[in-house]
Amino acid sequence: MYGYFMKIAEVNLSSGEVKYIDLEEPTVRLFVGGSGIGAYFLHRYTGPDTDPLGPENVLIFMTGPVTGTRYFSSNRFEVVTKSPLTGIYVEADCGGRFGEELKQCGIDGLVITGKAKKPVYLHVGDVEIQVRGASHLWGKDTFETDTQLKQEIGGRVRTVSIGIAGENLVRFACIINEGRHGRAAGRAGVGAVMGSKNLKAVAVQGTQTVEIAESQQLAAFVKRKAPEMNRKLTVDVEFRQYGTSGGFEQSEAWGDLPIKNWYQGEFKEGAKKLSGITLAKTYLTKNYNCGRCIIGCGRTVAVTDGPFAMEETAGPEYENVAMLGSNLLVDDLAAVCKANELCNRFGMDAISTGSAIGFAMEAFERGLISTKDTGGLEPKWGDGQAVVAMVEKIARRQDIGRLMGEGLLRAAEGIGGNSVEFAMHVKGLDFPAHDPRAKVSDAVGYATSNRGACHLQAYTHDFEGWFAMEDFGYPETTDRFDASEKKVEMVIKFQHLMSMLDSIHVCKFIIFGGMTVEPIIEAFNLVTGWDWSKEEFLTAGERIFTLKRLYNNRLGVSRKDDTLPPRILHHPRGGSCGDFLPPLNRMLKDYYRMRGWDEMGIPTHETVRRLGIEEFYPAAKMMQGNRAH
Amino acid sequence: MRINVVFLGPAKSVVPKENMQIELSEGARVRLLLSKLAVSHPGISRSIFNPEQERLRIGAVLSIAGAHVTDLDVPLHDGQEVVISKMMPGG
Repeated sequence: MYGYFMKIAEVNLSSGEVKYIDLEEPTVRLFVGGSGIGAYFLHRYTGPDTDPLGPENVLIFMTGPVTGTRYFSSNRFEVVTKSPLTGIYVEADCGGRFGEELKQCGIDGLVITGKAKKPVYLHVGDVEIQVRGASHLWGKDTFETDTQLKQEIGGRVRTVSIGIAGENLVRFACIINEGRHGRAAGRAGVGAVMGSKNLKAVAVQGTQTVEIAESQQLAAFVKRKAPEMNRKLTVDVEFRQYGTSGGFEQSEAWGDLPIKNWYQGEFKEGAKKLSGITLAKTYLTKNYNCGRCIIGCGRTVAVTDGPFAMEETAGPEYENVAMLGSNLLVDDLAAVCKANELCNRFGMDAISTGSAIGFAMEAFERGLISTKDTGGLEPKWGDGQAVVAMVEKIARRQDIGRLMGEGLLRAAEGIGGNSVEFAMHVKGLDFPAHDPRAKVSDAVGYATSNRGACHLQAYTHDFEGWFAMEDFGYPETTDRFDASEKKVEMVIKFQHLMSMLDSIHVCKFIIFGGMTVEPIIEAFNLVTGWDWSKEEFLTAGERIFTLKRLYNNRLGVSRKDDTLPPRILHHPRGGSCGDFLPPLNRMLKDYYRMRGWDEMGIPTHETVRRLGIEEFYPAAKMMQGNRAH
Repeated sequence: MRINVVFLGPAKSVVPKENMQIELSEGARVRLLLSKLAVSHPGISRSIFNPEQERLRIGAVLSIAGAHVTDLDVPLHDGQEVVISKMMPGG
């Protein structure tokens, strides 16, 4: 089949055995690739009794049919596993240059099971996969690991690796691609799963080219669309110039920005100091482009002197500036760059790290923890040096870092008191840097996201207030406080679309360059030769989204879990958001009805049958029944 | 009447200063303010407001007294502050 090698490599680290599994055409037609096929394998290999940090968990690296083609921003891959942070489904999407190289090894993905006796890394090549010793790399950061592996192996090689956070099983450790360029498969502890398997890194070196249906037409399509994309991303949206944090001040003005652990409404001067415009004038040295990307939103920065001096490395994106900056009342961009650099070196999700530090700062302020817990450190709001020190303590699991590295659910249990009131997460996954009190679609989007609080599974917030997508039924942008059925329907439609982008594997930012639904489907059809209609494409997205939900249902997830932190539901943010609070209960009721789920949030038999995934349904119903009794 | 215009974020790069005061006749609407700014500042017409179509360009965001404004026929009042900014994808 075009766009696929129809082959997955399975590596058992306990036995060292490597085998190849043929992908069946019906499976590919149903679940497409990336997170879709990843979720399918996760269903097959794991269940309610799987310990996320046990050898029985699987770590899945998947590409999609578009990965490795000439299409825009298609050098991506997905990591799928059972999360040690949340205990449910997790996918972590990543750019960089690893995805295409993995596919060039003649496989569509890699399924890793078991646990090595000693630290190892995988060398994946065209001909064979080798499990190689990595004791000499254990303890090294992700930058050193990438550099050393490239020197050892030679030739063109791409790596993903974990740092000490993954080795120390920090439950929100991430996987870093491209070493100091710091592209992260970031969320919900995929790096801890890698660490639990004693797997330090995966190095890929391939030379194969996947066959696509209409190669010349795809090349012509890309050539035709590139100037338009260039213009839109540099003139209409000044994305290349200022990166994802270019809209930081407007984000603050809209009340979308996390400030003081989501308690405070305004941070005007701070936002100005932290914005992408300020970054461009101060520490930015150059842009970074992932493979096949003409956008270049990635930042490369250096801080030449002062307490936060750092050599040239990946700079912070919007989420990271917000979570490590405004969320902690830190307005020193150099401190944010340093904290971000350490997160990348140690291999730790910067969103969850910022969230954990915000939680600790509030606990400290409220007297729930003291300097006895922190090894003498005073985690006070606005103290950049304390933030940098906290990042290190979490990665090394020192003092309060031991508990914070367990994630917010467990940290709130450990600290006790009323700390659960200000633990900002959904299903255990920390809030990303967009506020449902400012963009109401995020209320139902976060509550129903299959990996916990996630702004990317629906990715609707940019379509509330400034962006539109005519060929998706949104010729004008939408009102950010409109919580009507129309808004709920929008979340559902976007969840289907984003499920497809995470499965065919392209970057979501191409939408802002004019690669909206129809051009994306056109490119997908040129790659696969399938001639899918918009309806077929989006139904596949619905199927994939539902498959992930059924996995979580099997684990006991239901209506009780589809909620938001008390602070978001009951504490008005003020500023331009005034007293607005998201009417989550009503929105959820609409959401379940429109989706064909029952009142407990479980897809009905009819819905599952319509989507052709009945085989995954009985297990979900059975587990719900068992839990109920 | 006199309107205070504040440029935020990337919108600052298209004008020589972050704050301006614009004189308009009584009863003028947002559309007129933007048209006037587009004439005097080419960066505004290139990046913020399309004067031919009389529409905001993609990413341009307007706020008056902290409230987001999309209707360009909203009347302005003496002494009001209009914030003009540009958004871009975050995350």
